[in-house]
Amino acid sequence: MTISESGIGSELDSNQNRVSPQNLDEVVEVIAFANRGNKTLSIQGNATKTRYQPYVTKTDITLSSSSLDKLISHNPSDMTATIQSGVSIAQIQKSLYQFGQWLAIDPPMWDRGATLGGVVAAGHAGPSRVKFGSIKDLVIGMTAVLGDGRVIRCGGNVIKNVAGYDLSKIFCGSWGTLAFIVDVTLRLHPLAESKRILKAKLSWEQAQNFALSLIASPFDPTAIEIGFDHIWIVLEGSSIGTSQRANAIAQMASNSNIEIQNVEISQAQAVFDKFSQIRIATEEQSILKASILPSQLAKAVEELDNLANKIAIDYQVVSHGGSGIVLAKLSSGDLHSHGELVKKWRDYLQGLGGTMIVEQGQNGLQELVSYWGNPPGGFKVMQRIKEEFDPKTILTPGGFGGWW
Amino acid sequence: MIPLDFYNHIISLLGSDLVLSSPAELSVYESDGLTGYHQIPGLVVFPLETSQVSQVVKACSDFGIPFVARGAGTGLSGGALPSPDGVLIVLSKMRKILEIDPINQRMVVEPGVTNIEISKAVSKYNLYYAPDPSSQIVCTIGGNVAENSGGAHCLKYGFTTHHVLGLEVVFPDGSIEQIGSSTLDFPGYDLRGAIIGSEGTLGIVTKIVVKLTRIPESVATLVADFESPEQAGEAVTGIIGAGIIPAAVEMLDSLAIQACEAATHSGFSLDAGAVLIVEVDGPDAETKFTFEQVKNICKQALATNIKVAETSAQRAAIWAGRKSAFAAVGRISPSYYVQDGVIPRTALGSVLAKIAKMSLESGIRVANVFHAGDGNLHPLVLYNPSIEFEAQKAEKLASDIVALCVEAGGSITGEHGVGVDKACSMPKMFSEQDIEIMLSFKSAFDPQGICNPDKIFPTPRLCGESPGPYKAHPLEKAGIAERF
Ligand SMILES: Cc1cc2nc3c(=O)[nH]c(=O)nc-3n(C[C@H](O)[C@H](O)[C@H](O)COP(=O)(O)OP(=O)(O)OC[C@H]3O[C@@H](n4cnc5c(N)ncnc54)[C@H](O)[C@@H]3O)c2cc1C
Repeated sequence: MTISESGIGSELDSNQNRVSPQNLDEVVEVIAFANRGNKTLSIQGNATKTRYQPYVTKTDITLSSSSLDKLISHNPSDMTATIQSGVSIAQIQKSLYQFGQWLAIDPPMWDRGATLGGVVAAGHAGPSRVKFGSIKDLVIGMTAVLGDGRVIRCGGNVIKNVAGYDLSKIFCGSWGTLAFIVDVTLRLHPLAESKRILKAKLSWEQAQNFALSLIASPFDPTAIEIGFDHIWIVLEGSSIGTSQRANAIAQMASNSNIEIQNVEISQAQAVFDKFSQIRIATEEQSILKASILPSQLAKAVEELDNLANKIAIDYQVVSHGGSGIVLAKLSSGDLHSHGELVKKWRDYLQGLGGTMIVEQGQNGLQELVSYWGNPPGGFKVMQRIKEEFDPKTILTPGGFGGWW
Repeated sequence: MIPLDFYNHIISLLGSDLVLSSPAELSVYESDGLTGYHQIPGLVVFPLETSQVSQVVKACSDFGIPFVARGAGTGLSGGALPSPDGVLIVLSKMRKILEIDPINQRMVVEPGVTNIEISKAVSKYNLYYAPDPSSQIVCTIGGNVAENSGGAHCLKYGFTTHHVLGLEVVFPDGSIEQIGSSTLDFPGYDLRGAIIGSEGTLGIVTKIVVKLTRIPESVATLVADFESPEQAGEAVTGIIGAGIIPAAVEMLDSLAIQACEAATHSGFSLDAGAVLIVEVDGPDAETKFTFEQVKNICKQALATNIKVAETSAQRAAIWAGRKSAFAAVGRISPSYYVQDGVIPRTALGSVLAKIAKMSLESGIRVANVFHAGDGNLHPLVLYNPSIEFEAQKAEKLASDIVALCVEAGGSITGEHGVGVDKACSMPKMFSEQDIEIMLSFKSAFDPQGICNPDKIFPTPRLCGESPGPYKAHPLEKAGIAERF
């Protein structure tokens, strides 16, 4: 059967090579078609991350997950759910909230349409990472179609399972270069009964050290956000538990002459929106993500400040405290100056043992600097995995940091 | 048999002190914790550092000789079963703690460091390494990485994969690569995540960056009695449904209770149809609050008795009782198989009922011990080897139970791994194509197929054989560790 004889094929013909398969079989059909005709494919969820992918060349076919929009199953008592890749994280959360549960993740753009498939392919995480980890820590199974059209069902439906290779880890963060993700089975968490938010006005160095003392404490913060001259601490649990922990943290702070304030949840929302805006850039702006040890935060930010001043770039910077993730938005400056800052800041961070990637760059930045930096350890094996799973390199060409 | 020129080459690389080749010495390494399988290795080597691992592996690659990594040999699925024509690379002499960073809660260790040593080294900073397999006193972190090991507390704290950030790996061509890092994010495919749990089939891990966890402020433990496992299961569902993630929830059924009490008199009620051990931990206030909730839920689920550990000694006694279950079963049966399967927690009632029915029909008794929070079932299938055909019947029942777990939407293994033991059960859970893809994944690492071959994946040779009965691991005989 050729693709144009089938239902999905007519869609392909009439929609300028953009297809939205409705089920696994249709995905297989499209990818098999592409293989036969040596056509390239790019994958799209809700297109919230196209700017992360400047190396991706224009492809013959765009494979959209938009019709894979079903919550296949949710087992509230087992706290697991299997969900198709085109469902948005916001939708997932909305349907889980009714059961007092959530997918314990708040990745970039989650409330602006980011789909499950996109978040998995990007391997993203958000502020609550310090407690719950990133998406790969919550995925327990997956159905995916490899670049060569083979279907893999990896993992399972239960949270404890060590049968076979955990290939879902490889697909998390593979940016569409190995497989199209059809559905994902996830571990869920209970929504906390109560939430408290605390803040304190601190310098970067004070904030770094306070974040370190928080992770060294038994008070179990859900998120520690640092930015805009403050540290913000999110506590979740029982109402009595969160208030006692809030008091204990205030006590701990006052021992270091830090004054803690309680913040109304509604007030905090505006601030957290400001934090998440850091990850939204115009075409003239660049967003950099550094991953360092939590104790190197102040140094990393100080160096960023030095460089930005020297190169004359305006910037904003925030950090997921305790996780060592630093996000910087370069909000002014030309291409050349962004390139220079990326190179110099990256050199500095690598010297500290960290890494830094350009998440979104000013248009054209990819010609000046590598978005992902040096090839990571195990690069050759990664290349061979690509050869095994997508031998004709038809899936998302350029999506792997521009290397393939 | 090992070719002489290969042997001479290995001696020239390591010197003779780090190489075993006499039959008597080699036979010590013929099995891991799954003693029903044995195979004398061609050669055993004890590298002291990464470069030596790399040289040996490179030599294996050049000569086309298979190699198998071994840590402490406590694995329960035959993962470290040697190749008769290959080299067993024992990592137990690489046991240095290389770096401790209490501020960032990181530690870098060599693979032969035991699980418990990691926690011991940092307890003075109020930190520990969270995954706590029962074998933690002896099993190595390298083995834990290979098996993605968990412990009684993994429902709340996760498995090895959630606590290992970076690895140094010697790939099957002898190259040394740093995978992942000590920071959380790194660009590229997550090879770290795939190597964890790959049972030593993708390379040899020579360095591990682990993430440490704050010791919880307080812990509370209770034992609740129920009329039946189903009712105890209701209580578990109630606890989880209330939004509580306990540190541990363990269940024993009546036969397991009888066995425990016969052995330890740890105070489990003999007339209970099932007991539940529930532990909660965390910040003080949360623990107190949650523990009250747990007690109420157990009462609502018609617990006939609730016993709270008032002191840490009492808590230790409860756990000692729980952990004696396994050895204790030896008192009520001359021999038994230990099964390891997983079911969705909610299938507990129906699966236990089916196991009971299968047990009745076959005339083989089954005692159930269960990590109830995460659905990891450890049925002990009891038999008497001196009764004709009983061993075969028991073996069949054990394997039927695994099939039942898969049917219920679960897994063939929750913590013991596939190894050689369950390679032939893989098709119960995965399609032919799934397995083919996993094999092509392996070949990206190991195109020659020399790295721990014949493990995990079914082969005709493997799937013709039967595993043989369970024998107590020396650790269990010595009372140092329990199997689950
Ligand atoms: C009494 C008892 C209780 C147990 N309790 C538990 C439990 O509660 N939870 C649990 O999860 N498991 C448990 N186990 C199983 C076992 O202890 C674990 O699987 C453990 O991680 C194995 O570690 P090891 O050092 O003994 O590895 P080994 O048995 O030596 O090897 C296991 C596998 O790891 C590979 N390997 C070893 N070292 C390396 C390395 N450096 N690089 C690459 N591959 C390597 C081997 O090739 C093999 O495939 C128990 C076992 C026993 C005997």
